[in-house]
Amino acid sequence: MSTPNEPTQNPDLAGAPTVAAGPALPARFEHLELLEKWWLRVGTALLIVFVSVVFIDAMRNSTKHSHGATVLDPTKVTMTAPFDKPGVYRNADGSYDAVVVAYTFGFMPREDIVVPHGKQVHFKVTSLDVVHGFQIPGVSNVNLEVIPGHVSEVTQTFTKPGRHLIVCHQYCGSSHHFMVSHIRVLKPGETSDAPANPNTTSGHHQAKENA
Amino acid sequence: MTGTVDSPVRELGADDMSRSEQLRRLPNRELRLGRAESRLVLTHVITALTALLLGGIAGLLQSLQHSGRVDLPEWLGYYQLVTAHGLLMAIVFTTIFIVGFFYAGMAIVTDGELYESPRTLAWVAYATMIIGAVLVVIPVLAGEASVLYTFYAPMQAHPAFYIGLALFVIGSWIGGAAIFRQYAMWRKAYGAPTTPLFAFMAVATMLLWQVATLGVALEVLLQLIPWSLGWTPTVDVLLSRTLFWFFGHPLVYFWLLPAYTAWYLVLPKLIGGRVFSDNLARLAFMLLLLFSVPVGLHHQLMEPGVSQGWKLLQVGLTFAVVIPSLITAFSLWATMELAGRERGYGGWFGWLRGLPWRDARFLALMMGMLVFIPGGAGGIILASFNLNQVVHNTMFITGHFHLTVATAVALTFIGTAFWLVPHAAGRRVTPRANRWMLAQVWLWVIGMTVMSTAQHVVGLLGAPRRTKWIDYGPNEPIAHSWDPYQMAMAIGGTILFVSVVLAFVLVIYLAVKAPRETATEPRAEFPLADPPRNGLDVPEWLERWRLWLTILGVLIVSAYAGPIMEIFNNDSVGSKPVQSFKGSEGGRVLPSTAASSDGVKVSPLEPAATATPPVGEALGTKVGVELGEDGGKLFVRTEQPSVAAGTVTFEVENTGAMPHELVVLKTDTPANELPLAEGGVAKEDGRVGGVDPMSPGADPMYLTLDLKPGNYVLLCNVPGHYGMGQYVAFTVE
Repeated sequence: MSTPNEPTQNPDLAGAPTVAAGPALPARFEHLELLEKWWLRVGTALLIVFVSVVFIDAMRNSTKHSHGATVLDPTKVTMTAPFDKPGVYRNADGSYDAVVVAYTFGFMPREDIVVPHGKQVHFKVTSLDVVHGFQIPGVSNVNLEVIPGHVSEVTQTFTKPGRHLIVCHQYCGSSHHFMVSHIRVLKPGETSDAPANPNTTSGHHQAKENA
Repeated sequence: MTGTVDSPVRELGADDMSRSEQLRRLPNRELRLGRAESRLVLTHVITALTALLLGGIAGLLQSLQHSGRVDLPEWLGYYQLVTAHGLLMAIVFTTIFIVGFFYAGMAIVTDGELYESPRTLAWVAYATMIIGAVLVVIPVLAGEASVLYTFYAPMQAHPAFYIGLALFVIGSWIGGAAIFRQYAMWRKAYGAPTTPLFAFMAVATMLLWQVATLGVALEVLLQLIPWSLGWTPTVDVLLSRTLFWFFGHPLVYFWLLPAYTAWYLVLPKLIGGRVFSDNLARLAFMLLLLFSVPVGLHHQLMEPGVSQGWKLLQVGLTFAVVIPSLITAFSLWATMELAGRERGYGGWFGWLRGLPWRDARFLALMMGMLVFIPGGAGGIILASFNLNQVVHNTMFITGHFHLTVATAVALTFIGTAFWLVPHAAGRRVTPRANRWMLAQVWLWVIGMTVMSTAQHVVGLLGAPRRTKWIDYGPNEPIAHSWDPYQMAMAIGGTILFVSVVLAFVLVIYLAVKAPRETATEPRAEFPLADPPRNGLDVPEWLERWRLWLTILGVLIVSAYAGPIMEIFNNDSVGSKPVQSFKGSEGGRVLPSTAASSDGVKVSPLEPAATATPPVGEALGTKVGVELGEDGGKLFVRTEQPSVAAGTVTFEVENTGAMPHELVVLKTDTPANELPLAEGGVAKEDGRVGGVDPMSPGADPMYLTLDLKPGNYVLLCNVPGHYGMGQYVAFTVE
């Protein structure tokens, strides 16, 4: 074992004075310097491309993402509009609202969510209890983390008619693997019998929209 | 590694070296851990490998259950296993190995041994972490903390779980303090010379850890512990998640930087090369330190409450990590190319033949590095705002971190243990042991390639992660398309388990059974590479820790002050605790026995439940109904077992800790024999009414029905609840 007073024992230049630069690399390694330059140039260019693609796309589709600041009391979900009446509603502009409440271990409405073909559907999802997920795999990129006290929102247009699976994809408890729902997309031309959206004006218990 | 590896010591011409360098290269210079340090390091590595073995057992059972071919016994919960697997692998194995590895390297590069006070601190740290880990494991085993390693509130585990976590983190802080103290004492002794590269990397990594764990410490100490003890009634869920991911992402770099340390410093030695560029390595570590913390929001892109601008800012900062990663990739490949060419292998890729592929220490590191290439690319995909919504919470994520932490990092640590353990134990590695070690590495690579590829692909097809099974019944074509990949995951997982067991057995063998060193056959070497050929000229600014920490602080404040302000200003109402992990996970409803179901049909004519009771005549007979849980058992209780026919108003209260609903069926089927439908629910034949799920502690709801004489069943048909006994017979006379 070394004695503690011999820093020269260190393998890693401990305590050593700065070493002057050695001879240049042998000729057969010179290509490394060129490669290094191009490696970092190409890498930086890729980085700029990645960032630009993400930013431009995010700006163009800003409504698609769930960043809403709407809050509500998680213990009063079933008394707070619009979550007092989960279901699908037709908006004046021709789009639809799908209001969903997640709970351990299911979704309200308990029936299938029925949406017309080719129309914008605005999902508004909240939770009665723990954190849940809301995912419609295969036919859409609807993919939300559902946080109690908050409203997760995403907009999607469905074009594949049929009955599709909705799953909770965030662990929520012992029967999490049973927590499913369904969305039924109507055929082109079929009309939805969704009622008109009653929640165009804010009511007494309306979930609060933060500035 | 005597006798197994062809690693010629490269002879340098005298003109290659400056005089001071020659002085440091005394031919018989030997790096060797002291006795006390050896004991410390062995204890850590063997503890870490034990955690790996236990976590591996949990992993194997998980992958078998998830395949849908095996059903776990009732007493062993799937989510219990996921919790144990995540904590043992991602927290216990990694953290304990990392501090053990750093103690070893610090001892070697700063004076050959640890000073006394850091050594004592290191043991205190170990004891604290073990107590913490035990406190966490007990409630997990007892089924009181199946909350997974992310423990998202408001799902609430037993207080011991959070207290154990806090102790574990505090223990790791003490470990960090041991490393800082060793560094400070060494610097003081020599008047602040250039920091040896290993010490630089260890200090940078532990600084990163101290900063990162502030987030989870705030979450656990200020939010979760008081809340789990009942001192505070509610918890701000979004804040707790944000604090968690403040920690959760740099946690990834805390795993990765020690692996980088091995790649930068051990790998060159194993291939007979040198560190490619000391300064580049230091710069890469500093950039990783800066860009690891202010990026956690990219784990929260799919959730509400934080506005898009802040998310985008952190996405941008996440991408910045590409630069130090590219620097590292270039340095490592250049090191290997130089070493291969110096051995006389030419051509574009011919130099690869010059690498010691039959040296298990090298193979483990090399495979870790190769796997990190797709792992890193996957990380860029996940951090991309838009691609994230395709794969968020799918098996793709699982596939991703099984490449990064579970291969790049884990294999590097195992490969490191393959020399560190025999070195500390004063033993040799025989060629035969090396062959077993090679087998261990290849099994891991093969098993992980199968498992992780399947996870990535099935994730792209939409399969969710963290579910006991993803077979949602016979009528779900999308779920059927996921099935073959589940099988592949189980096969890969089984191969991996064999590799884990082999790693554990080998490490124990190397610690207690391998042949001892002799006068002619030295113990396994401690391979640390020499500095670059053109010497060491570390600019002073790279060593200014305060400067770097200040920049880090500024970055953190810029990236996090805004989102945290938003969370504080949003008037949200906190969440009460929910223990939805308690209770049975439900038996598997086999497709052949399950009735086909096209959704629960609730007649629109059904009377709706109301928040206020009807008055006078309309009230009829009032019957109190209580829904809740008693330990793991769920119940429906009625004030009386029967009632006279006519108008009846059920006053329904949820006194439990999870949502329940009430379904009223008129049926002659005994209450415990209702036919099952898909999805863990009973068929609702004869339904006359119901109350939608009520959150725990919600105000009572009133359901008024006109009941005819006959037999009724009152049940809660929230998925799984009927199976857990939440039903009661009721008679109308």
